[in-house]
Amino acid sequence: MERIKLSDLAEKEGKLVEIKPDELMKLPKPYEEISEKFSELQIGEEYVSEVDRFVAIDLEWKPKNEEEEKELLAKFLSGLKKLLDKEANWTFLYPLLLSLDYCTRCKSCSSACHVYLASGKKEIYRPTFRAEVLRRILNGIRGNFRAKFFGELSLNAKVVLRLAELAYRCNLCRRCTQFCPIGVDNALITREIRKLFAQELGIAPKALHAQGTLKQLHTGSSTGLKPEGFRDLILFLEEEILERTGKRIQIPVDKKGSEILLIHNAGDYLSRPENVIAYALIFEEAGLDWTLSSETFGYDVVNYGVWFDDVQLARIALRHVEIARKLEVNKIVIGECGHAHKALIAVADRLLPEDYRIPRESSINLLWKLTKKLNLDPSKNDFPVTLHDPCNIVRNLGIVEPQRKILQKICPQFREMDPSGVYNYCCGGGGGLAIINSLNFPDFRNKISARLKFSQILRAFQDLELTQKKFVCAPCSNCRSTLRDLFEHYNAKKFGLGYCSLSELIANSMVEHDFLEF
Amino acid sequence: MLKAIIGIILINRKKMSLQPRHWFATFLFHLGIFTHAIWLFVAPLFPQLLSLMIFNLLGAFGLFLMFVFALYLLLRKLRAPLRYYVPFEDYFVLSVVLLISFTGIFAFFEVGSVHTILVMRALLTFSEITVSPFEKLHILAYFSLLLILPFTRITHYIGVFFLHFLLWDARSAEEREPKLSKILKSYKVKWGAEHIAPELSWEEEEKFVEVRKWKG
Ligand code: SF4
Ligand code: SF4
Repeated sequence: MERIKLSDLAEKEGKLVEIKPDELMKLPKPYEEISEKFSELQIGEEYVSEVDRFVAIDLEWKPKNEEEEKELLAKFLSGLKKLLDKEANWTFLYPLLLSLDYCTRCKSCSSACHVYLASGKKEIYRPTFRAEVLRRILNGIRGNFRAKFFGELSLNAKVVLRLAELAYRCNLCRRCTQFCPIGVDNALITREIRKLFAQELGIAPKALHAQGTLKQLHTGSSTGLKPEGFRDLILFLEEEILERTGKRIQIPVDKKGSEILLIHNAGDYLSRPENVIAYALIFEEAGLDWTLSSETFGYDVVNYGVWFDDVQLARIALRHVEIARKLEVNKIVIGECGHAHKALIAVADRLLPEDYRIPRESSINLLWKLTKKLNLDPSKNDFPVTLHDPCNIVRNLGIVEPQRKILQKICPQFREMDPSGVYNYCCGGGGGLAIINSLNFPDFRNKISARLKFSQILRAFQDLELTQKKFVCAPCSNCRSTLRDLFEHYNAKKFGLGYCSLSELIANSMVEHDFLEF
Repeated sequence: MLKAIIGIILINRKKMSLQPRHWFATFLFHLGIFTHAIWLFVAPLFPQLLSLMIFNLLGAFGLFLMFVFALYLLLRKLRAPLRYYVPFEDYFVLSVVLLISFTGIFAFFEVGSVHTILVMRALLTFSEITVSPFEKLHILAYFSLLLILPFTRITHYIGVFFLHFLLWDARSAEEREPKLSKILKSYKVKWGAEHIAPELSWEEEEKFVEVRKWKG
């Protein structure tokens, strides 16, 4: 097998590595014989396809002449300096420096990374690969002694372009960090690389930046949903509820002074309204004093800044808190959306001014408290269910037991996947990869980053009839959209695989009719 | 407390499971260092212990472990593809460790550990003593290690105890508050992309309403 060296980044022409479908990790039954093919889509010269065959950054940002090349390098260098600057990067400077300085090259992180494993152990997907590239580039500008003693990497346009692209081959799931004996955070390093490009050069995949954070700050939601549209949707959902369950429920919107403000991922309203309906059913049944918000920013809890940009992360988080302050609610409850959990629960406290800190709770936690009170009928959920652990909620926030206790209570055939809990693998859509759908990137997600998850799911159900109906409960919008794509890609419905949210399973055990749709 | 200790052991066992051979080697390597270091501190304090054969051997045994597993680590880091990731520093530090353990073992066979301790005492009290050739090398290697210590990753033995604070920042909001407010008000954002106003402070930047140039 051809070995990639770090210096190849600067020297090698063409692709760094040729990914071959037959070298990918094998899938278990019933996919063991499947012959994989990558999409034939031709990638134009204007995109950076010099890493592998995939392109995440769908911008034409290659320098066209020497002048542009110089400009790119100059900007990159000034970005590097800001990465090491106490004021510009006070948010992550210390963990970054420690992560750069203390890696012992033990490779535990590689063995923990699902992207590396699923790709058939490709060198460039090692967590340490991009980290080492940044480490060496930074050594180069951190003084002569450091450059010689700790190694440096010569810098040219190719390195810069490839590094940016490489930063989008990671799910920021931090499983590698969890297994690192020293605590080196390779996910953080990856995010710092993304941050450098976004905050200094304005370079990031369109889905995250131009059509993501910028759009959200402009229109209130990255889905483009406007307040009027949202109110119409609510009316539509109320009718849905009536039709499906026979219950006439008025979903509270903009109710001032409520106890709870619930914010969903706006994608759910559009592509999986069942989840929203389920919450309305559960909250009303439990008699909570709650409300949704129809104001700009108030109906979309996503915060793509978590993946690549500190400034936009803070801006969006602040807007969310503002909505809650205006509605005079006691706390924000965050819907089933992993990275929103991270943004509002873990990061907001560390980034927002004092008067912007308002109590926040995870919806999963709240659901657990509610299931103790509600009258639930487990026999409604008598089918095999396994549980996926969204990295941001489970590994990063430590919310591990509530969802398990709920499932043990309402799903008689609940089974864990292996590994589970904080050691579970990422769905493959983390770090923004779930929403990058341009060019041939879905191929990377479906075939490589989500591969291990798929294999895990299949293994969890190995003992069952192939066509039997079975569900993966994924309490995160982002994970669900990854699973949707993945199952479609492998035509998994044929083998009875479906996915659902936690709330849907609860709602299903609550109402008389079958609520859960396959 | 007990729960925490058991927790840490379990977590580390989990971490070990991914690179078991490497873990075994590094564990014994560090065991060697600790054995030797403990011996080194205890011996001058309780010289009467030196008459015990087992205690005498302890120092040399530590050195032996260090030697064997430093060699293993060095060879491991020379193999592709790992060697592409390993900086010169690693080889340098490991070589120094090899030199220390190697000369130490030879000094042990040359003059015995009692003499080495006497030499150490003499060094600390600046008195005179005759030093054997291997002891000389041993001491030299030691000092070169002390000299490069602050510039290398060896300092991980301090940092590793603060790991948790750094990775998962477990302080409460109140503890963070005074410093955070100051940072948000006084630090400038500085970054240069179009969507950022570099001259603003972080607090102003966060509240910044006008979003420039969004072309949908
Ligand atoms: S597990 Fe940690 S120390 Fe080991 S190679 Fe990975 S980052 Fe480095
Ligand atoms: S954060 Fe996850 S995807 Fe990224 S390198 Fe680590 S284990 Fe791999």
